[in-house]
Amino acid sequence: MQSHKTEPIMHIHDLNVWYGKSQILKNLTFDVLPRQVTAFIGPSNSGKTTLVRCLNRLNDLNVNFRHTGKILLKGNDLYAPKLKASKIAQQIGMVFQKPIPFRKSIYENVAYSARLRGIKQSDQLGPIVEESLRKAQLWNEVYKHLRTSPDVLSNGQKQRLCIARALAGAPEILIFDEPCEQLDAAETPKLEAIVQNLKSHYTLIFVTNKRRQAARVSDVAGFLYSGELVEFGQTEQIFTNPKDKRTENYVTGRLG
Amino acid sequence: MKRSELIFQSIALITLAVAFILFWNFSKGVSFVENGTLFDATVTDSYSVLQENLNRMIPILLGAILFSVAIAFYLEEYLARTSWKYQIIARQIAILASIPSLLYGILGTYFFVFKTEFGSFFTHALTFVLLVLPITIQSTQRAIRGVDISVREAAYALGAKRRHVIVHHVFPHAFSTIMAGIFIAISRTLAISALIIVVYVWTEHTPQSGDPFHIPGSVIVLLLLSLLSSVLSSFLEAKTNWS
Repeated sequence: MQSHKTEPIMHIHDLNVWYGKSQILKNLTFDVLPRQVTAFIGPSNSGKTTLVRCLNRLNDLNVNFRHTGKILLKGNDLYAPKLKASKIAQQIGMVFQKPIPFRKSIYENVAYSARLRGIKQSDQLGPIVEESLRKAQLWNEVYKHLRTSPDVLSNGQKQRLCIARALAGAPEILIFDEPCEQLDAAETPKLEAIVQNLKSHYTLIFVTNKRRQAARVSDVAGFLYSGELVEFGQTEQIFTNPKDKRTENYVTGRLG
Repeated sequence: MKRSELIFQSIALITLAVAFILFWNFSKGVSFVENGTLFDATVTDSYSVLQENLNRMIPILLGAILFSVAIAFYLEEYLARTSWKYQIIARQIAILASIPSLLYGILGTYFFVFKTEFGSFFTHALTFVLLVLPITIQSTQRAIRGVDISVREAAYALGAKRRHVIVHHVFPHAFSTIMAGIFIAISRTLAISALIIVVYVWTEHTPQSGDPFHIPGSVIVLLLLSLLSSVLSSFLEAKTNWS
């Protein structure tokens, strides 16, 4: 595998996170490699969502959030005092558990994130919207009614719209936080296929509580258990030859 | 009640009292007096008087509403719920909003209009603003809080700045609820004004043409406007529930 030679795009060192007095994450250290899918698995309340929200600084919204340790994005401190959270969010996109299209047309939903990074002319926006929708494999279903409200879309289509919207912001890293949780069984393989396709251009971080999904989509996986990163390594190794007993119990279904 | 809450509540009450006393002294010195026209509304044919008052009140009203919306957004979007600024301002507003509007009307009329002996437009306007502001601030706060956190997060996660989130998402989402709250406040204010005029007219003037319950025309207009306002509010409320 080429992964051991490439420079990590993100480096997390000794990350501890508290919400108020309760500690959510304990001494996390790992690297995120570019153009790979890094999955985080673990039972609910293991800190997966908290972890990815540190990576795009969405936790800044929580007044009780406190952290120690370093998160480096291409060598630069993510939490440097003068660095704005909005700048980070432009580089690191996020797809949430629940698809939340804005109250705008399908076109405007996707164009919104391009506008946020300063692209205003419609002759520039059009191609970005099309390309993003194509990457999210939604273009063929919606190109005839781009100006209508996304309310008519199915839940799965809404989620793909949210992916397109995140892509239009031209991020380098894209975080998926349990994106299939609210989708039906037919939509899940489509979303996994999108993730596989995006891998060639983006660095992906994928949070899921479905073990087999993590095994299917990811190259590298980490197992979180009550705030500890129990094991982190190649997905194949995590699922076939786990070093830690707790990982083994989890991937075989005996834990969580 | 926790100790910190008790402290915040006391500070809120004390600062309000101090503000009232300061204002009281200040208002005695103010003398850009032009005699009030609202209380001349004793004759049935007083639409023009009301018209004049409304014409002057509308800018005040718009200003008060814009101010209250701004305050509400400042409280909800820029301050943390746990910060001392939020705690004190929100408590002051809650105290003011909890006072029945009739009390404002009567006390406002008594202190500002009769005791200061300048029934000026200025004092009318101040009573009115004091009556309307806390209610509109609170209803706007509730409307802002009603916007789902996930909408904000979705926008922040795309790299939106706080002002983008407010202008592009929170405000459009909350708009009809904000307007519903404002119309309710206006409706209540108009109704109270009408009531006070009626009481004033009944106590100060002998009934004309043997009618013991003489009601000035302006009062009827006020009540109709109040009704219209509350109907509008209910429509806006319904719109919020549908969309």
